[in-house]
Amino acid sequence: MADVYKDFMELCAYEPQEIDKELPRLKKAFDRAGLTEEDVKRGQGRLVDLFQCDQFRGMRLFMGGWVKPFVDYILSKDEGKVRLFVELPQAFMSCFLGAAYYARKDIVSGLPTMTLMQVMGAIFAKIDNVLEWAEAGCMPPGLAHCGCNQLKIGVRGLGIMPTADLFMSCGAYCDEAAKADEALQQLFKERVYWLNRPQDEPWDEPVAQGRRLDAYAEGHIPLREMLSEVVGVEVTEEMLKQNFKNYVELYAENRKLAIVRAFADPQPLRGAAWASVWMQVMCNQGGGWQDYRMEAQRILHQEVQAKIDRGEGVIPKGAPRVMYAAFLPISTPEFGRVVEDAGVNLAGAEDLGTMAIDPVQMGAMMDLMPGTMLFALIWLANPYITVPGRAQGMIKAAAEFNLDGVLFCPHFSCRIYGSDFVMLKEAFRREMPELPVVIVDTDIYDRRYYNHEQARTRLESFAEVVKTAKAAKEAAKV
Amino acid sequence: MDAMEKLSEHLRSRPVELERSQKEGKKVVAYFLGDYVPTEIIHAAGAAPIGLVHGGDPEALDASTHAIFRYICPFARAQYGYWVLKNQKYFQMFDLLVSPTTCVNLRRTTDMYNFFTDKPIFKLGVPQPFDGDRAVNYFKGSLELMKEKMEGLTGNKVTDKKLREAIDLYRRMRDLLKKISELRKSPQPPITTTDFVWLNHAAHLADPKFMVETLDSLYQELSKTKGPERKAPRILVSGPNIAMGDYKVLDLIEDCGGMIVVEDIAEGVLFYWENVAPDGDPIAALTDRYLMKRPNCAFVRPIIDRHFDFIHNLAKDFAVDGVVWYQLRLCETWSIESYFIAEKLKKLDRPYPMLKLESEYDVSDAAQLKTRIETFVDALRVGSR
Repeated sequence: MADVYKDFMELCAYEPQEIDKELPRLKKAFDRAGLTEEDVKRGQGRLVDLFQCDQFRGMRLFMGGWVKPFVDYILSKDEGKVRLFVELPQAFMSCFLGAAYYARKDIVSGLPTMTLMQVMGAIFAKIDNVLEWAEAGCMPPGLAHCGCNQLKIGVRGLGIMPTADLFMSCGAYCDEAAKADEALQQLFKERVYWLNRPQDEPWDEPVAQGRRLDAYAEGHIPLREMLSEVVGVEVTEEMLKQNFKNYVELYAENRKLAIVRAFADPQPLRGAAWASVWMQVMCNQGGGWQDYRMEAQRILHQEVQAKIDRGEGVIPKGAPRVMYAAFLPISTPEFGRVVEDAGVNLAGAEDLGTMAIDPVQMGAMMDLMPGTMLFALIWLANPYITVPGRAQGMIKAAAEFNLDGVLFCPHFSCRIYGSDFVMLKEAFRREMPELPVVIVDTDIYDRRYYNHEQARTRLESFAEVVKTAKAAKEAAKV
Repeated sequence: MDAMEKLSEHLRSRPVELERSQKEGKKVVAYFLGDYVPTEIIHAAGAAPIGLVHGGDPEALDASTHAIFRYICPFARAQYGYWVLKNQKYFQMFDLLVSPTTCVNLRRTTDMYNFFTDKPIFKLGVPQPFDGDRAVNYFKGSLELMKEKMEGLTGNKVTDKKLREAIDLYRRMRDLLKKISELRKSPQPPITTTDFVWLNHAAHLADPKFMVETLDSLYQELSKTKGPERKAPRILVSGPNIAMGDYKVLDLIEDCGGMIVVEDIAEGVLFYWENVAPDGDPIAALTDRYLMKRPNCAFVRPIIDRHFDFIHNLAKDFAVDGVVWYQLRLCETWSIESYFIAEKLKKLDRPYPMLKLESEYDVSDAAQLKTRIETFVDALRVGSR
């Protein structure tokens, strides 16, 4: 039995001596999550088939970058750690809380639900019971409640993960996330701090300014004070800056690979693998995880580049290159595989054009602002707040990367990342009418919300459409 | 009720009257409901405030499908659908739309107006958490910006004097609505809640001076009247909003033998329960009323305990037997809130039963709703407090 777990741990880049030390912890955490030996066997297969852990050490490190904190989160209360949590959509704020690492090392910070989704959803395909716990209570089925928010509640209700000592909530433009955080307060007496993220930007304001920035930054100050109180040591503006720098550095490294991958032909790294890497970077809590993830990122980059140089890919050379948005379904990584098996290269996500983080610009600001202000600025720079901002970014990326099509996979129930795809499609029709754009209903968290076989039919049709469009484009050039 | 008839007549001619005044240079300013937009500022600028109160119409939802997915709240989708249908003049005629940044559903509707129409929009920044001075300062700043926007639109300066006059007018409107509302504390309420909610809808559309005169006459009339003697369970209806035209659930409750005596909705107590202070800095007074004194809205965080206290007090004041929670399907924050309110009502020393209903402006669910409401009303009869 132990070999199954050890093999699994090897695929997640645990070192041999680390396996001996960590195996009891991992088994304890997996038991609590209801993961059996059978699940672990199945997970091994998925790590290879969907996430290419047999081909890339970088991917093994990144999958370990989910599994190791998953174990830490589950055991954090037993082990007496200070727990500082956030959840989507404010992934970036994990880095704010993670700054506490520079004040005190025995903290566990980050996004436990996203981590759970990546481990129990993507690797083990076993999260329905967590969703059902929330459905039996305050988030009933049939009312388009978001799976991410249901998981946040279900995972505590089932006792898989403990409550936080401090939970940072803002909801940003997602009301349900903030409301679910109030449910955490009501159900589990969790300590929640809500940030007010102003949302009244004019449509032509790319980065929020003036009173919006001031008000948002002001809200971070009591959060820093509360954070200091919870960890028992002052978390300074300098610590925040250090972790902000960590975030920007990792993002910059990730961005380099994003660009390499976007032009890769043939494509060596599958869409699902890339989506998992990207999400981990977005959710990076910095602190004690910074060096690990920077190494993972650099190794993966080298490995992918080497394959490109050798002309090795998992998608045939010359395949149409497509951008997807917003995310590939985490709980069904097979979704991307269907498109790829039909001969389409999932070259990148919408963040090729819509992420407003400019590492150089951010680096220059670092010395000019307090840490709290930097965090406010970066989050306010998020383009999702307005449909035109998001549309412009995507259209720009489609042109710059010379893409052959766009695949919108809105996740059912998401009012922020999902509901505006009809408008975004219309924006493409106005600006790039020749580019095939298809919407395929899915869900990022909850596989029960869509039918994979129906999606397969549509994805295969989409593949044919983009191949034909690409052939026509090339013929026109000749 | 002569006053109600006169008001109906006024509303019938209101769009034509507004068009006429637009030709003479008056501006029409529409706003989304939820009770975050101070109509006083619009009125003080010499513009006509018009609340987009319509809903309940499945055609308006169908008309929005080219622009948005289904899992946005039906009321929010309808607010854009009516613009597409062109069958409600208010949705076509406005010179500016004031959109408060409240729930994500209405924010998406605002995006649709921005994307598919050339209508000018002003986003009114509303803070979501109750975090004291920060929220107050932010909202106060938003109202200052709104005032500037109105001045720019109309060319009229919004002086403190004009603003106080407008505040005074709307104070009278709210006072009268509250007085009429409180007549329903009687065992024989002289007005049904469906009619009373309609009055609230009318208040968002009618000329405010006419509305105040009408309410005054109506109050005089109703305060001398007693409703029919009925042995009916007294019901509080709570939920996000009930649009003009979405009277299905109210009608069903009455048809099934229940007596709705008070409504905890945006087009009800939220509108009239708290008033603006008549003195001091008018923008500060408006901030206090529209942000801090308001009883509820589920997107505000945290709000459940405060909302529960409000419902509980209303239930006691109006001698209620049970609560019907009516919300539109896909309204995510109210759905979560309903669970906790029901649990808290259940745990009281003298618990209140709560029935949760969802609908989506769909006529086909009326029979199912009726069965559930009948059962609930019967149960209340048996276990009457």
